[in-house]
Amino acid sequence: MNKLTAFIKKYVFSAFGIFLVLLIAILANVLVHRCSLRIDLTEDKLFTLSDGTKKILSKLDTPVVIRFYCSRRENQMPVPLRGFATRVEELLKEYVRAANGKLKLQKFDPVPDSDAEDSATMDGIAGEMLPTGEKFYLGIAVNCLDKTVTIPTVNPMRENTLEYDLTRAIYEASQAKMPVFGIMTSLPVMGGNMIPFMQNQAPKPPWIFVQELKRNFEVKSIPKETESIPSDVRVLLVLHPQELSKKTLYAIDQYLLSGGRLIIAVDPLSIAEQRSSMKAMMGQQSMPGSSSIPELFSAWGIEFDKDKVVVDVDHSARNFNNPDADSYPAVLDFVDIQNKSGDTALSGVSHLNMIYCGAFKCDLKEGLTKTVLLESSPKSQLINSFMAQADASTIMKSFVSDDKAKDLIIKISGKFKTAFPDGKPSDDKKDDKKDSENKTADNSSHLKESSKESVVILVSDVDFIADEFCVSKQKFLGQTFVQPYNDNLILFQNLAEQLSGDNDLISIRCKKIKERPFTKLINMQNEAQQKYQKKILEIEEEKQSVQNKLNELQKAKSSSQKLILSPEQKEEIEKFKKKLAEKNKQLKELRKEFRQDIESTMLKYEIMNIALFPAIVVIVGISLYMFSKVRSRRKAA
Amino acid sequence: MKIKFSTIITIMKRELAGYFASPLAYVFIVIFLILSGFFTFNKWFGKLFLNNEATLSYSFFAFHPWLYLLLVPAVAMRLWSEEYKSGTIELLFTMPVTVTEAVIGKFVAAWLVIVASLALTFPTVYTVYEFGEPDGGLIIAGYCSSFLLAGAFLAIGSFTSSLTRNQVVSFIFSLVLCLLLILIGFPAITDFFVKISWMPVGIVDIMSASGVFDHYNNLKRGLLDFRDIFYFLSLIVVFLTATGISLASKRTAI
Repeated sequence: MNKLTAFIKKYVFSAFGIFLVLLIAILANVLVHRCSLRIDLTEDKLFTLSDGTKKILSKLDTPVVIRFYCSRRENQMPVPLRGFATRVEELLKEYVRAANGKLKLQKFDPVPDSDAEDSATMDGIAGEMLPTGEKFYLGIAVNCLDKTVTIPTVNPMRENTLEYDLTRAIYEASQAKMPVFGIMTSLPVMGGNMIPFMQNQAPKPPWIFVQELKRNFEVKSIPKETESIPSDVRVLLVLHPQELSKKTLYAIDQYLLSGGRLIIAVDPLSIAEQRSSMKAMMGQQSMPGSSSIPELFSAWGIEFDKDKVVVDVDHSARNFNNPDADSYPAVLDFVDIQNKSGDTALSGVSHLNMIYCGAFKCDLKEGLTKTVLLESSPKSQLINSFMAQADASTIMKSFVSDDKAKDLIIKISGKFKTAFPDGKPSDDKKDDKKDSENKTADNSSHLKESSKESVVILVSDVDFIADEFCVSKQKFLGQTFVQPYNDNLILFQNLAEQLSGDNDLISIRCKKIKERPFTKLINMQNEAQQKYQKKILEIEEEKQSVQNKLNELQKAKSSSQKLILSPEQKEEIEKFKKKLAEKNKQLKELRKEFRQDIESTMLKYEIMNIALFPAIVVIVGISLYMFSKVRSRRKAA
Repeated sequence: MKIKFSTIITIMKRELAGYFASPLAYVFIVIFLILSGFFTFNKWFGKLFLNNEATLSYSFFAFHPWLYLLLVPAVAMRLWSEEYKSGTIELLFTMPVTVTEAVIGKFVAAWLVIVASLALTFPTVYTVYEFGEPDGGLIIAGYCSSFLLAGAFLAIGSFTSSLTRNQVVSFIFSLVLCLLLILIGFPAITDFFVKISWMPVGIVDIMSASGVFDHYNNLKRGLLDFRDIFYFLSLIVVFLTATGISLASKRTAI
């Protein structure tokens, strides 16, 4: 009996002791879970709130309430999303901490048939249906007085723009009035009827992008002829500007300089205009038009050729229903867009279409910086717009890539200088004498340059926000269902929201992991490229001349002879074919050589990493061993 | 429970000498360096150069848990098993050494072996700095997380080693325990437990939070969160205490 009790004592008690310790540790961890003390070691500060957010939070003057709806029941929250949900909650807590009392956080678990669920419904947060049939909630409603802005479902794919989305929601909710978005265009974007005597027909609805804008802006139409842009216009969209008068241009110029934000969409070939023009309304054929604002562009250092359309072989659109049909090289399809610039305008944007767009050439004036939001591939060319609608084979026949990526959508920011250095321009019809008097009077309010940072978005296509090119509309049971087939509208909405915010909001960049490429590798590749470039070019030229000769010979055979080649001609052709193969081989070897330089360096480092130190350790080990052996032998002796 | 640091250091030195007298420590360091270097650059695993990104988080640190899974039990197995086998454990405890001091001393010695091998990976850091501009904070965070993880696995190994005089058994047992700790956090496993309807949420949550990878990845990402550090420290404390308990019980064996 003694042995048994001893056995029990030894094993059971010690096992129990261990189990107890384990339990205590688990409990301790659970308790510690409530404490979120952290240090962000990253250089990019991925986990701390950016300055822009902190500034906006400090400017809050009315208390804001954030209602966070998050399903906590195990059958309602998919396990992989738990970590994300926790991070969202932690971010919200950071906000509360930074807002110094002006922000309150309320957490809700919308269990079926609970008050929390009703609150969610009232806030417009619907919850997603899981395959199990349960609904799961992960949404945020930001409420300030009587205004509520919601993020119905927080998307884990947009985690790195989460801070921006949250700050923007808080900003919007805390603004008393909806900001004014001005649109200056001759296109019928606002809807209604173009032709007065057709009023018995139902008026056309506004374009989809306008309908979306109306959700968080007061959309005003700005006439094409205007002395000045109203000061309450937060963002002005100039869509397809054709021959604007100097007066209007001056108004736009001064608007920009006084801190206004501009989105200018120009186009070398606008299908939307073609389809909506008066002529088209009356069933007549009409030509697509082009637009540009050279006066303002040149003042900023931008060139836009309104007679040239971009052809890009890497991004040619295809007809999905007929994949074997020719592509449309001038209709551009961008899929899987990577947000290289980190700009928040591109968040959620991975698929864009540009329809017969032009390109901007930038040689920016001092004080201005350019951010490229969308560019073509280098395998592109600018062709005359009248050629752009020809079929693919015609275009490709004369296609020569100029190996330069073209800027299609760009953001220019900084301090702009006026395009009218002499002050307000005179009207063409007025008297000269009267003008000089007027000039001196008006120059007092003339701004020569921006007092604060302004932003201009330049888009080289107008059709990209035309309904037919961004959504498909289907009528079903009397209702029209709108389905976007690219992210054009999202990009536009992002731009509008971004521009209408403070500079603070715009400065919150997409917190992406900063691109840290192996610059040394890239430099090595570039250096090698330059070294071999000359040689490669020479050989390519030689190859080209050989190729041309070959083509001539082969053409000659078809024009002069009937079908049979003379033996001399055959020989000639063979000779040149051999030469061509030789040149190709030379090129290949040259390229191999230049790759080898880089690869040998890489190999050197790899060996150093993998083999060098282990070898050192082995050597040290063996020598220590020998040393100790010698010592023990000596001792023995 | 009196703890004298000088005793701990003496034990630590003794253990370290033991490690380096036999090929064990060298073999561990060499294998660790070769494997981690191999995985980092290999085009199937780490793809460091191919990724063209100056970061070690995916190519280098991501493999440490798996390397530790195999190698740390090997380092830990001789901590106590050998003492049992060669009978020196009796000798050890006749000296004015408390169990606590012995456990800590030996543990720290083994941890230092791992620290040495981590330190010898500096060519990788040098490489990445030579070729680009990595985020220094991230690298420091990575090393911290690797260090803590190794410590946790070592503590487990120390515990299993104190249970048996057979080093192989200790190795296998600690490998299994470490693997369990890794798997318990995997979504596939937690999903399985969620489906068991009578399992309360709290338990499943605790289970998935006990998984090593979650905490390791959080730390590796650059966020020194007290909770993740506390997780690893508590693992170490638990298993070292368990070691102590198991040793003590064996001492009072009849």
